[in-house]
Parts: sequence; C-alpha cells; structure tokens
Amino acid sequence: MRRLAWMGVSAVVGLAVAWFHWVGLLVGGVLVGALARSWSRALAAGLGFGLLAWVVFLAVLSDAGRLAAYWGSGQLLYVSLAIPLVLGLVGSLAYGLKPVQRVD
Amino acid sequence: MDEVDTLRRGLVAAVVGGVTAGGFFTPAASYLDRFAPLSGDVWRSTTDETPDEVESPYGSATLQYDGHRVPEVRADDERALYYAVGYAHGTDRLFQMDLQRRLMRGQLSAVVGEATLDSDEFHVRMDFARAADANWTALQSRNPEVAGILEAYTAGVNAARDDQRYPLEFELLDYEPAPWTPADTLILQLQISWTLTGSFETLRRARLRNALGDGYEELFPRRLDHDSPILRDADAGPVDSLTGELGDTGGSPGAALTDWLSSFESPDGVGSNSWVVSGDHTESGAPIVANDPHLSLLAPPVWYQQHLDGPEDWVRGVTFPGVPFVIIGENRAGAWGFTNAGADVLDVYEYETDGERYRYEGEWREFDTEDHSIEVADGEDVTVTKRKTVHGPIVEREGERVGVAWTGLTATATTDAIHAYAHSDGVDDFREATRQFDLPTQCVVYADRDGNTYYKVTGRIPVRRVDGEAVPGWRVFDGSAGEGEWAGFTPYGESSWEGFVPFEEKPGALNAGYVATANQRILDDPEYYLGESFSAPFRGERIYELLDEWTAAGDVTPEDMRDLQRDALDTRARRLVPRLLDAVDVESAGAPFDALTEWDYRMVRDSEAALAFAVVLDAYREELYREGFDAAGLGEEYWPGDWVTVTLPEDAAWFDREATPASASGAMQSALDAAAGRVDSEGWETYGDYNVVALSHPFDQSFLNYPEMPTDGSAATVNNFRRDSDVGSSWRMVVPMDGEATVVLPGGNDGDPFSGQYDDQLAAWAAGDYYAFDRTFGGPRVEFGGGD
Repeated sequence: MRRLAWMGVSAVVGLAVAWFHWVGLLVGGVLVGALARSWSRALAAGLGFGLLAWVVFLAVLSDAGRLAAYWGSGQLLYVSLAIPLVLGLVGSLAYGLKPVQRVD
Repeated sequence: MDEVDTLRRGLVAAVVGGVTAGGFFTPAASYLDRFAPLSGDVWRSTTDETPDEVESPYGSATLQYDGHRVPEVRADDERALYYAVGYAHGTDRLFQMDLQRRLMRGQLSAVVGEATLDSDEFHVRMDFARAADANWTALQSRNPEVAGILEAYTAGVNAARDDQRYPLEFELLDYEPAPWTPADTLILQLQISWTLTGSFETLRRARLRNALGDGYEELFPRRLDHDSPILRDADAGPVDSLTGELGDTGGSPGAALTDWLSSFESPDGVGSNSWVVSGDHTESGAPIVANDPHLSLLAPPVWYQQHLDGPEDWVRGVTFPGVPFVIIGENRAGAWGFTNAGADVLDVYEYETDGERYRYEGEWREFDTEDHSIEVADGEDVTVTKRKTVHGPIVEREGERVGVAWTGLTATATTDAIHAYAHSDGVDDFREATRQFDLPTQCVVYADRDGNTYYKVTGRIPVRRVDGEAVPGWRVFDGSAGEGEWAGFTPYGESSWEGFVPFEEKPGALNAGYVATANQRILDDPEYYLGESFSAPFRGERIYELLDEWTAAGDVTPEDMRDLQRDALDTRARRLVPRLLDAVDVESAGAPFDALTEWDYRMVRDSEAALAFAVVLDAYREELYREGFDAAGLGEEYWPGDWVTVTLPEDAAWFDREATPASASGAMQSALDAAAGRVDSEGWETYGDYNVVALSHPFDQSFLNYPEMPTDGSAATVNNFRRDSDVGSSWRMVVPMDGEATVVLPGGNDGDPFSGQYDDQLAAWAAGDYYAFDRTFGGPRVEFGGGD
C-alpha cells in the first residue's frame, strides 16, 4: 500500500512539474519507474503515468472548451499523445538504475 | 554479476540522460516546448482565458461576447469604447493582424523565410509603410479626435497582447509580435485598398497586345456589350462623352516586370454585390439594404463582427481586424454596404534614365533613393534600393522599371469617413462623410430610417492630362515628358486633390427606386474616364432582372432579398448551354451531361446539370486558350474572362490561328469529351461533389483549415463562390429599415483554431442560412476600469 501511495505522490509531483515544463513528464516516469518491483511493472507504470498526464491534459482542454477541436487536430493530437507516453516510458527505465536485488 | 549490473545501469542512465539532453539541446526541444501536453506553448495559448477585469487608462467600458464570439462593447466615452474594441481585436485576431501588417511592410520573410522574398521586395519598393506614416502624420493634425481614438484602440490591442498568451500561430512560427501602432491600422486600410484598386491592368493589356497582335481586341474588349450598367437611367448621374484617344496606348514594359507585378494584384474574383431598394417597392414601406462583399475566403475570415454601444450612438457590423471602426453595417439612423467600383486609380510611367537619374521635363533629376534591408529567417538579409520619382515609387525587375502613381500612396481621410459613418444621422450626414472617403473607390449604397436611399461612387479618381487634354489612364505614360500627371497629388505626403474628379460629378443617385451594384460598368456614358474595364455583368444583370420582375409583380420583403443573395442562376450558362446543345450531342455523353437538355441554369449542390456545365466550361476554356496562349508565351493568368468565353462567336478570328481550335463548336466537342473523362475519373455525380468550400488557414495545415463542405453558387452567380481561387461572399447582410436584419460570416469570429467559434457559422453560410443581426450577449465578459 505504501508503495502505491508513493507512486501516487510521484505521479502528482510529475504532473506538477509537467504543468510548467515537459521534463515533468520524464520526472514522473522516473519516479514511478524507480518505485516499481519489476521491469514489467516499471514500464507499465511509466506508460500509465504518461496516459494519466494526457487524460489530465484532456480535462484542461475540456474545461477551456477546446476538446472538440482537439479531436480533429490530427498531427497535433498524435504528437501530444505520443510525448507523454514516450517520456513516461523512457523515464520508467530508471528502474534499471537501482543497485538493489530484484525479482525478474 | 556486478559488471553486468553496472553495464545495465550505465546503459539505462545513458538512455534516460540522452533523451533528456536531446529534449533540451536538439530540434526536438522546440517541439516539446510547443506541443507537450499541459506545458506546451500551443496548448497554453489556446486554453488561456480572457481576464474578467482589465485596467484601462481611458475609463470604464464593458466587453461581452455572444455565443458566436461576437463582442458587444459599451462605454460612455468613445476612447474608452475603442480601447475595449482594440482589446477584443488583440484577443481574437492578433496573428491575422500581424500577418497583414508584415505583408504590407515587406516583413514576411523575417518569419517565414525566403519563400516570401518576392512579396517583401514588391511591398518595400512600393513603400506602403511610408504612405501609412504620412497618413498618420496627416491624421493627427487634420482630425485629432479620430487620431485620439486610434491611439486608444492601439493601446487596447497592446494591452491584450501584454495580458494574454500570444495566439498559437506565433508559437508555431516561434516569434513574438511587435507592439501595435496607429500606422499599423492605417497600413491595413492600405492593404484592403490595394486589394480592391491595385491594378496593373495597363501593363497586362500592353503585354497581351504585344503577344497577340491582331485579335487582341476581340478577346479583351474594354467595353462589354450589355444593358445592365449600375445606373440605368439617363438622369441617374452626369453623362457626357469620354475624352481621349482609344487607340493611343503608350509604351509596353517588359514581360518579366509585368508578370511579376501581376502576382501582387488581387486574386481573381474580388468584387461584390449590393443593392438598395426604396420603400416604394417594399412591403413594409421602408428601404432595404443588402450587401455581400466578395473577397478572399480565409480561415479565419477577413471580417470581424462587432457591436458597439457608445456615448451617443450604437453601430454594428464588420470591420477588418486591426481597424477599429465598423466598415459595413448599420447604426441608429441607417445602413450601408460597399462594392468595388473598378475605377482606375493607378498609373504607370516610363522614364529616360542614365541609371541613377531620370529625365523629367527637360532636366535630369536624382531618384529619391533609400536602401532597405529585408530580414530573412534562416538566411542572409537582402538589401533593396528603393527609388522614387515625382510620381511615386519605381518598381523594377530584370532591368525593366516603371514609376507607379496610386492614390493610396498619399494621406487620405478615409478613416475620418468611416468614423463619421458610425455617427451619421441620416442621408445628409452620410453623404457629407462620403466626401472624405478618399480611398478605395467603391460603390456605396445607403438607406436611412426616414426612407431615403443613396448610391455614390466613393474615392478620389484622377484626371490625367497630356498636352492639357484629359486622357484615359489605360496607357503607359511618358513620365519624362510629364504626361498623364495627377494635379494635386503628392505621393507620401498630403494631397490637395485639385485635379481629381469633383465629388458632385462622380456618379450617384439619391432616392432611386432601386440601385444594384455588382462591379459592372457604372454608366454607359460617363463624363469622366472612370476605369479601364469593368467586371462582366453576369451578377449585375441577374440582380436587376429579379428586382425588375419582383417589383413589377408587387412589393419585396427582406426574405426576398435573402433569396436574391442566394440566387444561383448562372447567366453564363444561359448564354453558353443553348450553343452547346446545338453543337454537340450531350445525350450520348450520358450522365451528368444529358441533364443539360432540361436545366434551369441553377448552380445548386444536387444538380447534375450544374456539374456538367461547370466541368464543360472548365474544359472549354482549356480548349479555347491553352495552346493558343502557350504559343504566344502567355500563362493561364492572361486568359480572357468568361464573358468572352461564353460569347466568342463560331467565326471568331481567334480560330484562324494555327494553335487554336478550328471553331467554337469544335472546341465544344473536345471540351465535352475531356469533361466526361474528368467526371469519370473524379467520380463526381452532382455539383456538390465539385463545388466544395475548402478554406485554408495561411499555414495550410489540416488542423487549422476549415472543414470542407459543398455549397451552391459559382463565380458568376449572385450567390458567389469561386472554388478555384477561394473568393466569394465574405459577409452576407440584409438590413431592412423596418424589420429584422440578418447576417452571416463564412467561418467564425474567433481566430483561435481550437475555439468552438472558429468556424461555427461556416455550415450556415454554405447552406445559405443567416443569423439575426440582433444578439443576446451572455458570454464571457470583460470589465474595463480605471483611468479618467
């Protein structure tokens, strides 16, 4: 449970930084990846964080009345979806930086 | 194991670190900065909200939008009012404003690169910027009240620029807009004036005459044979004989220069419809004004709709973003609209030169020269030497050069006129304001709520003289001999206009039964030379045809006027299709061509015959002109207009040439075959498959362009849309002096591509529907306060 809570905190921290700079998407991925128990869970957490960031982004667009046009924006939609997924995933590779023994 | 662990950790660190470093230090950085969710500048821009309260140095005002992002601005002080108007323009259309001023100042290449270098060079050589500066200097001394309003408006634009994120286009191009200035507003007025009157037709005709020789007049008649001028009654305006020799056409500068200059003229099809019907012919007994200007259809539109409630008057209508005042619309007393008059207000001059000097009236004079550096994004700056003579700027290409005189290159009082229109209290006021409307030359129609109607040609029209005799402006004048000069004209300064056509002697009509203007010939026999040529009468004759028919049968209503604006009967088809049916067997060509045999000539979406006519006409032009003009070294842009195309007789001399078809009927048969092949390969079934509105943003990116949709109308119908040049009805307005006024824009009022109001009126426009001019303003609201 504590690990899950820390993951939640990490995601919030990542989103907070991402609000101001794209590097927050990477930081979020790093934090959730580092907290994971396995490679697969780390990568899933990284992707999950990226997806979460995109969903939050959708909520921001919706609040501003921009969501309808966003769905039709083609390349911009794809780029803005790809960026958090890729950065979250790359960040989650930080799992591999841990020197401790892992169960693979 | 430790070594493997270390290797893996090193590899992971390298990947994460590399991606991070790449994000900061490679070209990917700009993409991440702009498009990353949450922090990306593009998203920040589009989600930025207009503040609820804004400090204004001019005092209190309220700006509130309706559901279509149309603002209503209310204030008890006119400068406070226009400060808020500037804020609305700066909020909703800042990129469009910046792009237009860059175009006119020759600063496009600084943000888009060398692709626009030619355009920048032309605009720098013409020195529109210096003309705008002269205009601003003159305005401050001539009319401090209007100058003060312009300063307040400018401050409002800059407040919006400072308070809010820049529109996303600035993020995409990665530059920041400079502060707005009063001269920027005046240069935008020059931009629209240039679009409407900046014509090098004299040079193009000289090029055609040289290239085609005999036969030129047959394909390019100056006067079209029709009976639907704007003023049809003999007493509608001054009539007398045109002076000057028709055959004397002066010199002919080189093809390269002419081709180059032609690329900076207005796009094909710029024109308009407007009419005013007096109360004698309306069901309500009150006049009706209708107007739909045909300009480039863009995303966002060229017009911005606004409703202003000032200290003494209200006014509503449309303006060009960057210009504070309502240009077309209505106020408490009346309503007005414009069409292009087609007057000739640009002349070209050739000189005897020795490189740095030009001969003028027996003496050598130095060109007024100035070096100008054009900034080029990702490239070297380019230096252009601007040269001027007593007549105006020199434009040059490949060693060829001519001097240009254009009425927009001096200070004009048009801003005063447009401001005065908002305050006008009836036809007398409106007429007085129109005296100040120096540029562009337009046909204005007006009606007031007392029942008066008015039609007048606006703008200063020069009288050229050679050896003391007034001559037409359709020749290249000998500038060294002082030929064709405009008395009272001072380029880049203030003009007295003493040698121009007096206001009272320009065509006009007060309280006529009805007047219809659609860019056709103004008068059959004008006292003064007005223009080199006028648009074909396709729309004008149709408007008069229906007005004659309807008023003879009874009184008309605003709904009738909307029907007239939507009218899609193509009088080109009425001329050509009977000839086509005589010449070829359309039945054997199958669908859709067999539908031509029983067709009402209406260019409507579900019509097979309209599709058949459109593609046959396209192919017929190809057959008639492609090879003949190619052989003469002339591109498609030099082909004759549709009047000649649909009326060119079977035995025209054009068909005697080697590279032309044998006859009109032969060309029709070939055109039918080509059209059938095209319809088959495209898979078109009805006109709506062909006549698609596909309006582009200047960046031409799918997420910025408008959605595509079919529509009615053609280049020659009252319901006007040119699919090949994206020109058409840029604002439809029907305003009865007693009853509900209706309007529609081809797009939306908000310039933000992610806004719901970016294109929310487009479907209604394409379907021929309207919105009530009256609005309920319950949307976002901005309170302006502070100041005195």
